[in-house]
Amino acid sequence: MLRVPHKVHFIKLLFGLIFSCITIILVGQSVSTDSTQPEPDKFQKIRIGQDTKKIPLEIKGYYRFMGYARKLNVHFGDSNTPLVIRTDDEFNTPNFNINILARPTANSFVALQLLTFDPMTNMVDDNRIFRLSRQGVVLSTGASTSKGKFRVSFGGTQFVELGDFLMSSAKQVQNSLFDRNAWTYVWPIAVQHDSYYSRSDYIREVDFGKRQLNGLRLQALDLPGLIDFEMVVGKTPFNLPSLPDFIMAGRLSKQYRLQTFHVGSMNSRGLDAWRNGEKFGVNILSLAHEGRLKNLGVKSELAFGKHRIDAENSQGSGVAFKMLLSIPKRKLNFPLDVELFAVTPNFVNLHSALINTSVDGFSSETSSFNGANVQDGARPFGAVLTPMHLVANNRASARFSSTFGIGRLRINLGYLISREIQNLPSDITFYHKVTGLYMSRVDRFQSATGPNNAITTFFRGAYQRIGITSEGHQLGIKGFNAVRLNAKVKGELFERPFFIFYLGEYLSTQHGLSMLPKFGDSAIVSAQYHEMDTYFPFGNRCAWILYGGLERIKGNEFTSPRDGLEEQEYSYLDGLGAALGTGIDISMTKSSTLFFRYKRVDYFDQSITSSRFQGWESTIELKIHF
Amino acid sequence: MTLLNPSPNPWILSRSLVIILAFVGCAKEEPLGPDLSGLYGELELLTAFSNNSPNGVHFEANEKVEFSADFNLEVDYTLSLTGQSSGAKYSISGKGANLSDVSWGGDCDDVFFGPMEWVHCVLEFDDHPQSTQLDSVFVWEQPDLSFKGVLLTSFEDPSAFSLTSGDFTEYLETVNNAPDAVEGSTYMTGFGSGPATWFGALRITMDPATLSNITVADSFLNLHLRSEFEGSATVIKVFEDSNDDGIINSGDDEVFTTKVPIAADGQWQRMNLPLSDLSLDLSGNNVAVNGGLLDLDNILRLDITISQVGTADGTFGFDADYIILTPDEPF
Amino acid sequence: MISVSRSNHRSSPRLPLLSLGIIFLNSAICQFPQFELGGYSRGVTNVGYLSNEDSVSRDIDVESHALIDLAIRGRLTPKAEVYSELRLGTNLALFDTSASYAQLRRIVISGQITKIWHYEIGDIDVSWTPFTIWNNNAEGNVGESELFAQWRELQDYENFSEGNQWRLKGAKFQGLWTLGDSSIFKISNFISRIQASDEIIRPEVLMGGVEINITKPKIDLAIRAQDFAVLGNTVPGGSSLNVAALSADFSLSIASVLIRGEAGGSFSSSAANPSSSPFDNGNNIRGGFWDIQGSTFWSNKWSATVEAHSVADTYISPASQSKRIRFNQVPSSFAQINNGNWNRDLSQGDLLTSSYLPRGERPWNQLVQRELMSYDARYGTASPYGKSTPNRRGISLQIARGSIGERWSLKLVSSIQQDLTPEGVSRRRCYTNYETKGHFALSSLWEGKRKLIINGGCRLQNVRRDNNLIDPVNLKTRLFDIGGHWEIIESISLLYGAKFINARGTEYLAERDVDFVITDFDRIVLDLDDKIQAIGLKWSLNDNTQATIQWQHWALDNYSINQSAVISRVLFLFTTTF
Repeated sequence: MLRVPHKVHFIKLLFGLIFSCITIILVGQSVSTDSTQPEPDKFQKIRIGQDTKKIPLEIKGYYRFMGYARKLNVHFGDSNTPLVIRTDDEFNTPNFNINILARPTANSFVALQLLTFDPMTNMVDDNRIFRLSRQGVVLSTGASTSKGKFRVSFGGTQFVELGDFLMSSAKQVQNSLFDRNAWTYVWPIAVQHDSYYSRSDYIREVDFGKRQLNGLRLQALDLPGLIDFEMVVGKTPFNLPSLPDFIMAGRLSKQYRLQTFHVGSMNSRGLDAWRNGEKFGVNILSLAHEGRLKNLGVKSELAFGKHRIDAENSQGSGVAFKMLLSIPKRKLNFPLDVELFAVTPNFVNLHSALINTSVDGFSSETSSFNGANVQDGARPFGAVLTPMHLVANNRASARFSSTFGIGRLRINLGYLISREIQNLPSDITFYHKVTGLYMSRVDRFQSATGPNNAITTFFRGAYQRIGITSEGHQLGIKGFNAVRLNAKVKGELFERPFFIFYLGEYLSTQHGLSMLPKFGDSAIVSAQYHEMDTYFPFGNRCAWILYGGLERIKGNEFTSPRDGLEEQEYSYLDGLGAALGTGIDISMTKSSTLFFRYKRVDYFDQSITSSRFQGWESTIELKIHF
Repeated sequence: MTLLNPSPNPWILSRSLVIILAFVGCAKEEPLGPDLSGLYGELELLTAFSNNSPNGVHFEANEKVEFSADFNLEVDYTLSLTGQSSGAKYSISGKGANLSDVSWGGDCDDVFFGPMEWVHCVLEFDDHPQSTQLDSVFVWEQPDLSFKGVLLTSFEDPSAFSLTSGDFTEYLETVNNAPDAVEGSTYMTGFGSGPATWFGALRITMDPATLSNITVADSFLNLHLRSEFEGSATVIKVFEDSNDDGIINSGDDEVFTTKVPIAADGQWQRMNLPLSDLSLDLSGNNVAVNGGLLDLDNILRLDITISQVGTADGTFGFDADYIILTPDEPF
Repeated sequence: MISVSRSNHRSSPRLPLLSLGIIFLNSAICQFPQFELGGYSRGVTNVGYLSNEDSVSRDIDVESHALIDLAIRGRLTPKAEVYSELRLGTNLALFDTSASYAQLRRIVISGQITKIWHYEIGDIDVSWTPFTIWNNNAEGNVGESELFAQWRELQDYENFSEGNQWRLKGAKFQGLWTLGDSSIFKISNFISRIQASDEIIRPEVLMGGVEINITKPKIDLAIRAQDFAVLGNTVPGGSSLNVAALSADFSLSIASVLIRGEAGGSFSSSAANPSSSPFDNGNNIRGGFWDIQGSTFWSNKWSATVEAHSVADTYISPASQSKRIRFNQVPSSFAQINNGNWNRDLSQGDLLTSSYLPRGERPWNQLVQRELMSYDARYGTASPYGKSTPNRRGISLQIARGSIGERWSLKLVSSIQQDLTPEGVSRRRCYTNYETKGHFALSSLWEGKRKLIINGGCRLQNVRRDNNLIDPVNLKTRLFDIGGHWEIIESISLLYGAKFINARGTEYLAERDVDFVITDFDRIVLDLDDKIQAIGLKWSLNDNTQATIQWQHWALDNYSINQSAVISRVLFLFTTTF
């Protein structure tokens, strides 16, 4: 009689398992295990987990290694600064960035962007980053029916453009090609410069002109009657991240012959606290038109906006208007774009490309929202010396631009006249176009740095504030002028093309409207930026690059005086910045290149002794696209 | 059963079935867990709370008061007795569905129950505070509890003790006709002042013959003390006649002592001192003679001295009454 | 395409695994390794609003995420296959890349050692019968609307509780023999580690089992043995606790009648007196169960089942008595409302919309444990631990017709149960349970092309026990579910759902210690309502891809403490599988 113990011990089970295993080994000797054998068909069909199959994946991305070194000789008067060596240019840039696109069905896809970055600190601490990249996870599905194409996308980050006054971001078309960033593409030698020479354009970043959005996006295109509809719900980087704040925007478009009409609205609202929060938000309604009238290209947009912050009891409403007339070449012998803008002081929309200079509740100066930060990084506040490509509120502006060529010389000329609508008390703000990139790497994301805490740095740029005296303010509204010249020359050397580009911009502000820009002391603040890029290819594989930049910023007696040098008791804003750089591009394949850059930067404002800023940076970058 | 011929072997199956059936539980009738009615039921008194002495209890005739009540549940109860004149208290706790074994023979917590007084009886229940019951019983005579041990003195008989004063003694007498005595109507009171530790003593001669059932390991010296002087204490001294000469010779006879502080709250306290707390005194001339252990067969005298906890200059003293030795448990 | 795989033994297997998968994905050069991909991706936005009167608690609760669970299956060699689920997700409230996370959800190595033996090592799924190893469904569902069902499915997926299986970490071996007369003989073993020891106070807990199964055309026989062992020698001064169980079941099919019976028992050492001798009867806890049921089918659609069972009060079965919900946890949002006066319990809405975070507080349970978990009496006290609830005996009758794809379906269940042994008093509680569930396609009445389907169910449960000395037991619990599905145009549907839970009465909940000895009773008096209504729109592109947006209104009333609240929620769920 078998005596089964009362207690089925764990060891008995283990014995059973071991016995089974031994039996398997003994019995299994007869089965051959060569990998060239085909799959046995009598096996148990045990399928673990979800269904899987061979599905096509699209994988694109790039590999980028960067070595960066920087030494500041003088940092706002401080000369005790170390040599910095890093594997990124101060802003985390991926080593390996891949976009994976999987298409489970013909009409839906899942897009994934992953990055990994290794700061190469040491072998002990594992600081390597592996995570989803900017474009995160986007799920998208759609259907193409006879009634139209429908698409639903959810996730982050997506890029949306719904009209200049609703959701968009600034487009800087004329720029220097010397400095690269993580997302700059890789072309064979001279291709980028050639494209820039002929059309001022090349493969831009994926968010060029678009606003980032995390959330839901619905699109219905090609509806009957040539109607398109797009709607988004979610958050943009300009919604307060730590509070319940979201945006809902939509636009309906109708095409009629050569014209397209758009009606759109945007509603950004939130609560300024999780408990008993009070509402704040912005509502915009916009009407736009795009098309051709006779031979003119016309693009216009009219928007009405209301903003309110209940906790401050502040509200306001404003209007924004813009019209672009593109006059073709045959009318005037050169093409001319005329743009008219008028944006009243109370119109504000952080999610668009508009610079907010007048509503301080929605700026980085704000004290609302219980200390939460409005992500206003790249946007200065106050009387901003806006470069040609930026539009600000509280302004009425006219902008002219034209392109023409003389032989091998291509010129793009731009001119802006603008005046404030209301004379609001504020500082004057100007950008450091030439030295700003270097400043933003040295002092990252600082809201008040440099001498007198006047400099704010943001992603790859910096701006500075200077006050106006009360007499200056009492003189009335200010006018702004800007001139921009982008001259491009393409020549030939040793059977290879070479390029010389010049980009210069002059910005000034003075009292009252002025048709022509003011120079010298008649301008309250004047800023001029000159940048020169040269590009000399040698053979098909190598190119030598030179860069020179100059920025000169001056203020007159209506700017707040500072302590100057010993010779003068007072001195007004008088800054001079210079940058000199050189580089070599070595192309290995059509989509992989080795870049070497070296740049010296120097900035000194005579009115502030501690403003001296001098140093160099150099990078070596290997980028491979696939 | 082998892997190559896997048909079920009936022998193993049947054995497994037997084992399985052995585990299968059959319904039991005895309820699981604690009694719910005891936890959540409403308390009802099936018979009222009463006692067997409606005309009072005669403790002199060795009567006892027996309380009775019947409940519908098993409950935790506490019966508290309070003398209305003497202020004496006593309580009995228990658990059950009735009060069948609850009787009172005159025991008390501190002060004795007095003659000719009403005693209020309060029956309370921990889980049912609204069901408190009240009764009362008349006590004709003061209970005599000296049968519990060896009564050394209750100060009624002046020959049982003597009082010795010292330089610092201010007052040391017996108080007669005292209604607030612990037992009877007499108690001792004494106090002294100065920076000393001996302000007078109560001396009781001990006869080992009376201490037949008293042992050092298990027995208790019980005394009732009351003080209003902060810092007062009593030093208990037991003198042996180590050399059998009938008198106490310092340096020849062993002395055992312990000091007990007294709380100065003006209330009678009963102190139950285990005899094992007495330790050999080696101060002054005192010596160890017979191994340093208290031998009750040689015991000659017990001193209860008025003392203080420290050595401060102040007034210290106390009242004392009813001193008794009990063999197995405290009084 | 160039891949980077710097091997650093301290980095997780995520990057090399992904790289490996990508490198070899479309490789056709060699037969092994071969890779396949699948996936499940999801986007969720969940916003809750509390009514305005409350000025102390948070008014809004937001959660929004998008994630993809990439299933990677690789045939490494003919005898080994690796299956892994890699989760990559991002929190959509933030824009910097630190909002994203990567996590390995599952990894299993499996394969055929020989033609007969199959093994799995890693995160395995195990389930046997409702009395032995079974992950009971969560409470509060009887034919609920699709609006709630999709969220319940999401929670079950997050909890690794799909179906009634337990997800365990361990290994499984299975041998299968097919015999000539089309009978199958199968042995499966598994061993798993339930809890790791911390070498200080938490001992190691292991669970293992063997199942022997013989299937013939009309007869099915199985014998199962399992052991749940707490190893006391893994902590200093610890004591071992062991529950072993043995059971057998058979099923017989004669004409259109199916008879199934199961019986077994558990044998456990006692925590109160951990005895060293296994033969010390007084200190060991034994309990058993039996169950027999007969089913019959007719007209191809109808079926009727009669069932009787009995479970002893000392039957300890951790893997079938552990619950899927931890009812002693607080809700993840709006836990304290009405200006701090009401500390809410978990309501159905909280269970369905509990937040997902990579490591967050969720009331869903994945751990098998010996002690009986707390349960919520509003869902009834007849079978809080499923069929293996200790101290029950009863019979039930079920009549059913049809299934989901048909025009209509109906299921009626009525059961009566009783305490096997009385608890606390000398009378036994009597539990009666009536349940109805069904659906009807209204659109079939007018032969509409656009589907209009109504589904619903209701469950009424009463428990009674009269008593003179104490308040009698008289708990009535009700659960109503109703849902509607109307296809407005092709692939877009309007959905409606309502759920109504109601409980009134008195009960005495037994508190059992780790040896299943009742140490106390907790008297509860319930008088509450839990109502949810939801309306939503669903766009389903195909079977694999759906997007649903719904608005939910919760009305919570607890009359016994005089508290009420209204919470509304907007939920958006987008799923696609491939």
